[in-house]
Amino acid sequence: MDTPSGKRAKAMDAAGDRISDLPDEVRHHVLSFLPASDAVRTCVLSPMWRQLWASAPRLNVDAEGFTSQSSFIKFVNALLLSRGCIPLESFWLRANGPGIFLENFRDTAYLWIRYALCSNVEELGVDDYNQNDRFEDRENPIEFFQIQHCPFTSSYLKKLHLCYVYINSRGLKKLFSGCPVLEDLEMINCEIFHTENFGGQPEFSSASLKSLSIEYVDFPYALDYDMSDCYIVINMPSLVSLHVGTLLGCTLLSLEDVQSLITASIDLYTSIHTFADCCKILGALSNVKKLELLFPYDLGWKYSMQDDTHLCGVVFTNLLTLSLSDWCLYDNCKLLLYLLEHSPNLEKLTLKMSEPHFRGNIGLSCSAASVKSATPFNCEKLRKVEIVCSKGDKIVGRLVTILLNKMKSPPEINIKPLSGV
Amino acid sequence: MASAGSGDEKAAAAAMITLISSDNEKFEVTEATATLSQTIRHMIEDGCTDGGVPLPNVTSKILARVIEYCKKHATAAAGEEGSSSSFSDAAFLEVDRAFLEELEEFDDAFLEVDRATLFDLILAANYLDIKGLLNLTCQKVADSVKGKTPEQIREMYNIVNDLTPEEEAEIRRETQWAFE
Repeated sequence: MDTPSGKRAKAMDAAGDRISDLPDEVRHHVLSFLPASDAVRTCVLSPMWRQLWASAPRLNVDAEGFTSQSSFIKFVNALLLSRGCIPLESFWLRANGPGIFLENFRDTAYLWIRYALCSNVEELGVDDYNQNDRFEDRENPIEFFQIQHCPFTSSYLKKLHLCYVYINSRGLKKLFSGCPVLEDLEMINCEIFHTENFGGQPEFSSASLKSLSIEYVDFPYALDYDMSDCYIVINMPSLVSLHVGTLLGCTLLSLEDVQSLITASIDLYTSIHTFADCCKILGALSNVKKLELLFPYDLGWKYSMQDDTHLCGVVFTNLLTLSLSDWCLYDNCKLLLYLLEHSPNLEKLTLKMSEPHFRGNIGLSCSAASVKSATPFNCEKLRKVEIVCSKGDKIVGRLVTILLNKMKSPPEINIKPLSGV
Repeated sequence: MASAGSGDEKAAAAAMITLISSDNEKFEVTEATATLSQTIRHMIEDGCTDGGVPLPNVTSKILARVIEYCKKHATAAAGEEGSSSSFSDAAFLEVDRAFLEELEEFDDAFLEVDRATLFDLILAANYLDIKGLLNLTCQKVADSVKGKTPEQIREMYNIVNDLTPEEEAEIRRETQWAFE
């Protein structure tokens, strides 16, 4: 064991107290990677640390390590009361402790969020996650944190992350209108409740938003109330990057003004879109550089001539990278061939095939005849085609034949095995 | 001239910048590498990089490491597979996962340094305003502190506790809510 004087000597001969010598803003930066409880406890390290945490501009209010809801609430209230009147850059609220759910103390959580917004916070994250706990008691599942009553108004908020929260379509509208400089929105595992009484169809409408990512978002009650399908409208003229992952509920995606988009990734393997709906989505994305569109191949699709009209004459001038699932092979690769012909700058194409038994007979059998009928076209810049498929997928050979026959300067084609199950 | 650069410098098409360490060693790097530093980016924009950029706060040993970091991350920022379309924001897209993994491995290996070097890197990243490197290094310090008692942190970082027992008791009383 070191005696106090021994410690001092050791401090002298080693590199010294490098951490305390760091400039305040750098020590604040270190604190920003710590949960608030650890950050506050640095106050007893030495006089140089005593006040540091109180002026830190970034707070991670993290329930990890708290054994009860009441101790967590007590801690956060004291933290916000003791903190200086310093503007906040970022505020993350993570209710990731056992048995701690924001919905159980909704009003208090609203006050914390309001505190952050009133402190001019630019980045706000609300994570109410603890899935296992939530569904343990099937009779009385714990409710998602409802944020539609929280006054989300801020002229500073730029980034918002929501996880396991619940909002209705009216709340969603208020959120976008109340945050006029919001640029980045991420929603994961959220629920968006929509009936006529609560604001109608969910609409993602913002003039400022640049990046939108929604993943595993549920749009419940559409069936219970015998409503028609839920139309999610995205109308964001400044949007640069879009990611739509798995959506639950009877949802149809409708893209209005998204002309600024550069990258878009839409993965709707459980969707109820028709082939025409998919073409319509594609038609709205004519300016993108990178595109991923994964829809299921649906045997129930009935092809009609009108389906093409959404794409009629659309040229994908900026498109460099394209990734599609086998829905594009519908009707003798009609859509795939259209895209190749109308994407003059395309460099890389990835085709992600689903497993054959999900797909059924995709109907490329008459390909020989159709290959001969149409004239080949140029797609000069396309250098790489990657086909991801399960072993022994018979359709791939025919697909390759079609590609080689239709394209004047055939690209390099790689076939990769479908990984995972 | 230090041999810190090779490989990409041979592609003479790119504009080169000379960085001069505190011990007067010269490092020639591409503009893409140098501009990961906001400080240097502003100097380039102001047109004051002719004759080299003196960095009196950074030793050659640390500067070599910083350049190593910037080179690796500059290729990442330039967009995957050398494509000119740089849109690095869209991390969710298939931004070549293999490359991201490689970058992560590089970062992990990069942080295998002694504590003195780590603090030198933090100061250099702060001075040169290299956001990624500052995050990486500060995160490393934060991770080492997380969950530790004040006594353990003092021990780990040679922090001399100048507080009298009475003062420390008073601070603990004031912030009792954080120590329960």
